[in-house]
Amino acid sequence: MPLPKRCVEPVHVSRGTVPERLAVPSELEAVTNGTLANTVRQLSSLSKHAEDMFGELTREATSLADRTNVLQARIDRLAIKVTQLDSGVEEVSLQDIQMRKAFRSARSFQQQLFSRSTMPSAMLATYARCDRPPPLERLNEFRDDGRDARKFYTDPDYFFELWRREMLQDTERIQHDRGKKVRQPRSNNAEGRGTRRVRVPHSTRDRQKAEVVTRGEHIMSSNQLCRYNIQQYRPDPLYQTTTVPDGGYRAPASRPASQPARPNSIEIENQQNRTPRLTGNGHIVGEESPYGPVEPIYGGSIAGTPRRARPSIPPPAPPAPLQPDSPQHHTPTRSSLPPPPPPPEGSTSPPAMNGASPPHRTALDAHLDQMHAVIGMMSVEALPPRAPTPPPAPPAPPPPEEERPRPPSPASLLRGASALKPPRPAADPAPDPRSDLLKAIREGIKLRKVDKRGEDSAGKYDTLRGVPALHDVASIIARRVAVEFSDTSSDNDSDSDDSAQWTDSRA
Amino acid sequence: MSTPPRETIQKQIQQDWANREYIEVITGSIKKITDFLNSFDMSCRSRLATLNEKLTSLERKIDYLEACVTKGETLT
Repeated sequence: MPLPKRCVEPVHVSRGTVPERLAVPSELEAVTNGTLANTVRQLSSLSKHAEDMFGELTREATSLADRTNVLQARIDRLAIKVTQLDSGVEEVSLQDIQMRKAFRSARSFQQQLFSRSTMPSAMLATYARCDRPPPLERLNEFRDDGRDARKFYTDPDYFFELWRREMLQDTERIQHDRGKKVRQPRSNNAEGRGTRRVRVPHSTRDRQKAEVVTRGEHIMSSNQLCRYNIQQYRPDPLYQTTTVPDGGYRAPASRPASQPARPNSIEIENQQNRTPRLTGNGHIVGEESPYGPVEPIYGGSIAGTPRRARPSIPPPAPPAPLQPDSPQHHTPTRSSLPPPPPPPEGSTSPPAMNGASPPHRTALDAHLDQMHAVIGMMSVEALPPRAPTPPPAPPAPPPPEEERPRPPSPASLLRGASALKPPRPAADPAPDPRSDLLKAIREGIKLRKVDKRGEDSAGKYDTLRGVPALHDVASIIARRVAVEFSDTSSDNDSDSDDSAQWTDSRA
Repeated sequence: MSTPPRETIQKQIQQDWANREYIEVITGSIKKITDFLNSFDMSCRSRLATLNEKLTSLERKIDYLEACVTKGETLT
């Protein structure tokens, strides 16, 4: 039903113009006079409406004029600034460009456009004439469920609630689905090469922290956790089939029920990577403990370079001979890259570590393989200042007992031999890029914090408007957009990062 | 009750018709005014809305340009 905005009254100008009780000499004149009087009333009503209308138009035009003036001033300022710009004189360092904060528009969503406050006055007057709803709120005290009794009669927020609930559920579902989708293709790809499967760590820092806190326990009780793994992760058959050939101890994966999959598998990779290396070099098992302190240093990088166990299965493309060269090639470029952009979800820091870690680690491998145990210990002592920086920082997990007496395989021997080729310089260029990398990681973490702060401020803004966060259209839509955007971006990121990692490890 | 003379009644009716015509003109004028006001209102609002849209997009562009030109704060 169309609701007229303004009604010119009276509508019936000639009705009731003849006075009933009063005798009039001429009824025709009475009708004429009454009609004329009502017409004049109509005119007055019309002029009132016209004044109201012109007032609204004037207000709107004035606000537009104000905005235009402000805009004109800004344009003038901008014009002056642009004319003053001189690329020949001004020096812009690359560092500054990279470190510049992302532009964030201060514009806000317009919302609540059809609320009571924006209702035109004429319609408000019409509205005020309506009958009030029955005072059902007085029955609230008799309700047990705490719901407002009047909402059963009339609820202006009903459709918004409906929409809000649907949108939020939709968002959750999308997040959930995307999470699944991201995981599945990985596990498919992981078939045939173990590297990709474990490299997927989409672990947030919190997870990693929690893992750091509780890590010692699962590693120790690997047998027990093996049982957990079988129970918990049966639906992922690819994972188990690929892990079984590695000796069956990775399947334990030392995962508790509540822990995310990847970081734990990373730990296990730690153990695997270390043992072949030592045995292959002939420094035997007893050197586990001297190298123990090294682990926290390279934990982050190791986390990004998951490999299969060398002894049992030679990887498809073991990059052993070329690896010692890689630090010189890749790490500087990596370190010169800007800190990773802050995607909302926790996919940022793992890619950063993934991308840059293998060269460091291989450099370290070469270094350690080449050196004697004592020298290795000395180098370890030299390194610790950089130690605490990597965020995941897994402490040295003592490898399972049955792992140690494994004989050196041809692959590991080959690796050890190849690692002998590059002399010490491989270790020397490493520190600087690594510190840069760690710096970059730190920057990345900072960036994420900044992003969170922005979200918080957005929430505050909403609450400042009197609408709690996620209870208004703008924030809901913003969250939805953020979710979709983050999913696509994280996909892209991880994909590109995977490929980069793959080429890195091959190079 | 004596009936008024025929001419008087005729005169009254003619006068009444004249008055009705007069009222008709007035109400017609009121209608015209109303129509004009409505169309004026609509036209003004649509133009103002167009202007508002343009202004908003201009403001966004200026925002962007200012952000481009300004040496923003850096992360460090």
